[in-house]
Amino acid sequence: MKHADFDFSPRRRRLLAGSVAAAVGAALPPGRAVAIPAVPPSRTASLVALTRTLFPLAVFGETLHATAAAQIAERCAAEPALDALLERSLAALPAGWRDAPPAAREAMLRKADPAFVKLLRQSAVGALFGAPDTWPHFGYPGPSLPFGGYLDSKLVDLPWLKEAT
Amino acid sequence: MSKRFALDDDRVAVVIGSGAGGGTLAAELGAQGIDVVCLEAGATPTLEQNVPAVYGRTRWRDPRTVEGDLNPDLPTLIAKAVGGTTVFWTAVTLRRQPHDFRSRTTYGALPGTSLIDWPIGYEDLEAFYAEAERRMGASGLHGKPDVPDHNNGEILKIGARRCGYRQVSNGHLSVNTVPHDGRPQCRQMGFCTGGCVIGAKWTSLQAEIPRALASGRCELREQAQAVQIEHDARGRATGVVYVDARGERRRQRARAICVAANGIETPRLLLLSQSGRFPQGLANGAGQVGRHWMTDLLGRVIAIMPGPVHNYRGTTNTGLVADGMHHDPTRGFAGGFLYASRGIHLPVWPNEWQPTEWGADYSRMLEQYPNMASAAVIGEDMPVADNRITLDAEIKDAHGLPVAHLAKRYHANDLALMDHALKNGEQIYRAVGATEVFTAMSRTVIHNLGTCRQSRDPADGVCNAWGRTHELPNLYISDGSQFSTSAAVPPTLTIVSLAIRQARHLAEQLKSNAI
Repeated sequence: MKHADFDFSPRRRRLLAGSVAAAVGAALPPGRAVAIPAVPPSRTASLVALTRTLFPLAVFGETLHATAAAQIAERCAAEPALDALLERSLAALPAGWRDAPPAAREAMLRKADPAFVKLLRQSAVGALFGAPDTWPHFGYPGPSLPFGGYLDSKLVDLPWLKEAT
Repeated sequence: MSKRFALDDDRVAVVIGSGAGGGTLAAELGAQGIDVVCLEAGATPTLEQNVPAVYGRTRWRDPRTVEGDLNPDLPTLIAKAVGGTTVFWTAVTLRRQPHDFRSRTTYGALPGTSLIDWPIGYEDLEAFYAEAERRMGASGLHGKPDVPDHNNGEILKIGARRCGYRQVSNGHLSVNTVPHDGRPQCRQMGFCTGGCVIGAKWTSLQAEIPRALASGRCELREQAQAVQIEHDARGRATGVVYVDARGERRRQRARAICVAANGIETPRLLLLSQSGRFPQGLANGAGQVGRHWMTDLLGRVIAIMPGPVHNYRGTTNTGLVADGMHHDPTRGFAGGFLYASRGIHLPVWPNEWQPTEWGADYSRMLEQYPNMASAAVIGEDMPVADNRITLDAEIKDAHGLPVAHLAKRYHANDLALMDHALKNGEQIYRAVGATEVFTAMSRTVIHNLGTCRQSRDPADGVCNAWGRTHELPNLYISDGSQFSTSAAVPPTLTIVSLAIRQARHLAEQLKSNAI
């Protein structure tokens, strides 16, 4: 039985950032070893289009979706059964789907193999919502230990709610 | 300091599990002068303010098969770690009501349920409740200050008051509002569910296991997963076979054995321990082991408010509305429920709400995180005999043993209660100006109860009023498995109170050579 892959510790995020850079052909610092599978550019582009179909939030840019795509590719490279699922599911999508309007892409994905969608979703959630770069867009500050928590700050500040003190 | 006991030392009590039940029991047996070996399947967890990472490392991942209403991918979110699921808990520390021990008498014969009364009453547990609350440092009780108000809690409380609710408070949380028991004051950091990095929240990991080890009477063996309980020709439990960190099987001899492995693994272990004398599994002569599985009913109300909420700040469950706790048959269902505010950290937000949902509509909702307020519903879950843990006929675990098969279908009473609670929960948030409200019953559960229940009549359950199994005189059930019924309140305080009570009883039995 598979469980959601929730692992996006800082160490893993760094590794993934490297993977993404390689996957999208960006320049890497010299001498940096990045152990990733060779992902065909078309597959990366497809995965990016798919994670964007799952979570089309404006705050998630191309790079973040590429991170999610690289993470999916990495998982599939490690598990032949997942790789077969990915290959089979991508091949089953109709021609030209990447250029279809968002609503059509969503309708298409709703008809896809649920196991395929689950695979995409697990990695997308971690890569997109776990990315500290986007947290400020959600008003989310992340860990509170570095500044000692909220005990000494104003914990009730609801100007839009008159009864709140 | 941590003691070491020989594998063939048959004077020790063996406690299986180190969570709310097992950790407390080990500490209290140690305090009573009883030598204890505590076997824990997991390792000591590393805590950090990254809830998904902590869940990823410490969640119970052993395979299970699922049938019925729960999420087949994640039916339960419990820990495999020293401290058990107290590492994840949000510290809500509430007593059951007196009628919660007389469920069958109070509710009558609800068709399709297997309700019984507990063999103990509230009065048997009252003093232990008070002791457990003091031990855990529960806020707002025994001279401890309340936890401070915060936005997410205030929105729930103000909305509830506008709707006419009266039992509205910050509740009681086992987080230190002042330094207590060698642990610091809570800094209102949030992140309770990933484990408290400063130890301000009571957990077995940070309070009871250290207490057990400090007694000089307890040895904790981590990554030691019990796979069989053995017995002698007289039908007395004699030892526990476990698999250690290196995958080797060991046998710890024992004078008494207490099983506190969570409501799924506790019955599984008894079933795995079948023998010629106990062909259906230990303590299962009446066929009751694994049955009556209750999960508590968990629901969620998510409200989009007119302005920022910062729901991630502060203790996860500050803010409690308890008016629904009582039993009122005019509502169309038996049992009760409560609302507790529930903070959500952004990285877990897409999964905590709807773990499989996605798409444009869902994303529009996720985008509104800054203005999101949220409350959890917890409600009483009716026992049904066929909601049960069994051994899977085909799938085996890493040790070659049948995995647990989980069958759970909610009773009509459960669905009526949750429907009522969610509809009224929506009204609370509408009363404070919510622009959108989303409600759902959770299909991932946390509390696993009733699967080796206490019963007066041995035909109705697995253990007696002390948690001692009806069939083996030195085998005890020490976790939520022993609950005869669930309740509107979370189970942890009751598990801890029962563990203290059981430890005193067992120590007396051992000292007087009754066992």
